[in-house]
Amino acid sequence: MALYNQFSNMPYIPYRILEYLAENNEVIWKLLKYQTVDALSNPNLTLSEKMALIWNGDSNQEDYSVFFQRLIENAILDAKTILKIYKVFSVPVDHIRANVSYEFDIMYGSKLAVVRYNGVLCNRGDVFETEMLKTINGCYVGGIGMLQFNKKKSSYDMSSYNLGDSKSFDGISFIMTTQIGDVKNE
Amino acid sequence: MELTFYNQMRKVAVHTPYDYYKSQQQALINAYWDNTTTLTTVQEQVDINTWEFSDLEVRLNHVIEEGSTSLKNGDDFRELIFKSLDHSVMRGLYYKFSDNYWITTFTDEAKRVTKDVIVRRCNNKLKWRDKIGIQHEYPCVIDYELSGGKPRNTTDIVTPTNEITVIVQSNIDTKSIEVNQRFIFNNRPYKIGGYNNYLQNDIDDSYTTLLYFDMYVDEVSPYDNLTTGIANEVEPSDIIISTPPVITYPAIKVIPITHKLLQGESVTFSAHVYQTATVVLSDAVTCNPSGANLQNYILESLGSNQYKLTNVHRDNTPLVLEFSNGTLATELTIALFALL
Repeated sequence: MALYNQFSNMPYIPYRILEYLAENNEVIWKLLKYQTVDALSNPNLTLSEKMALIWNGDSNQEDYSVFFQRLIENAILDAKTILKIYKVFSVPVDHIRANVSYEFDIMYGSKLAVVRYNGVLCNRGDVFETEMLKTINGCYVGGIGMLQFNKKKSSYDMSSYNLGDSKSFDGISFIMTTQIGDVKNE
Repeated sequence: MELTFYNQMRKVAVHTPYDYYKSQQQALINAYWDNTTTLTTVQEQVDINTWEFSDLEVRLNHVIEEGSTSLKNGDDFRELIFKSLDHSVMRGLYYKFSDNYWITTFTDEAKRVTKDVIVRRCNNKLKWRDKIGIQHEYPCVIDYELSGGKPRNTTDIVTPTNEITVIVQSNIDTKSIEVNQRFIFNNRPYKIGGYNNYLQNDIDDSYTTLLYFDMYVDEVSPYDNLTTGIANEVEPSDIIISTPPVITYPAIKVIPITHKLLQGESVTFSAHVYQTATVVLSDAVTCNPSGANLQNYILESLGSNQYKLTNVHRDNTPLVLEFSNGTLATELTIALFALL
């Protein structure tokens, strides 16, 4: 009997990415928590402080900064940094493997667009993206390969300065891909 | 038509008919002035550019008819009737009574034989800190209507967009308010999108005494102080300043306490041993650096316990200066920043 891809790990991948970031990066959490130019001068967040930034289904979405979806229904009242991680494409390679791409949206209040990074004034989105890629490019998040920022892996992989509301928020997005393939043994 | 009698009377009369009628009217008002329950003492702003008030007896009348609108509240509007027919009135002038500030929004010299104005209760405060750091605060009226209440919806993010109109006196301070300036009303920041300063007193006099600001709701910035109600109260450059340490004497005091230095900048530290807060000892104080790469800064001893530090190049590792006289020591951590 033929075996087919079951995609069993797929729903857990955004969580695993965040878990990896929580354990292996301090900068992005400070960027999420602190909104001033000198955000990175603040102390590292504890694990519970990091987890408190992730939306858990509470009705007050505006009180959180990290989401597993694209649309946040509530109006965001503060100029703050937001990270969204969600699946955008699943492209089958064959009957047992698929390239699954995840989009990372980094949005920030346009009043907060700069941050001091290693003593240099930088774009907050650039710093965020750099730290993300530095940490998760090539990490294992549950697929049969690594999460990659790799055009050869997926033609969707790229970064773009394309988010915002033309008023008070600005942002960049990038797409990374991993491969999923687990088969049901009947 | 020939008015023989009238013309003869005009030749001998001291007063014009206008003066006569006016003095008769004033006499009538004087006679019946206190024959009412509406008499009260308010405080009237002396002049548009001063924050001084003087007592004045007026009659208070209601303005808004109940049932005419459910939006406007009757107690937010009053008519002030003045005793003197020569009383000077002006739009924008403030009054104080009933534990509130009131601003003149309506004058009409021809409405009645008495002199009166319509005032509106100031329901909020316009607070800001100007470019040289002086804080200003003026009572203002935020109009009832809230327009554009539907949030701005984009796929990426949803943000609030409502707009308000703020009415305030036009004076030497409020005339300096500019587009993009932000204000906080009851914990929400608003940004000026435009203003109306073109309602001139007359065609030649460009001075206006009442300003209308159109503001739209803005995102809360980390630099806003929602407690004091001042928007952008703390500018980014201020954030780095830390709380001065609590000193237990004897101690080494270093002046100035600096925690960041931009590339190319220098600072001269003076370090002395203090027996008490005011008694300075003559001990020699050394300065020992650690942390940042030696090539990225220059530390010079100028003698007399003075040290000059220059940031040559940014360094990711902060520079730690330890000031010591052998028994006492204090540390200063300085971030060596880039050009910006």
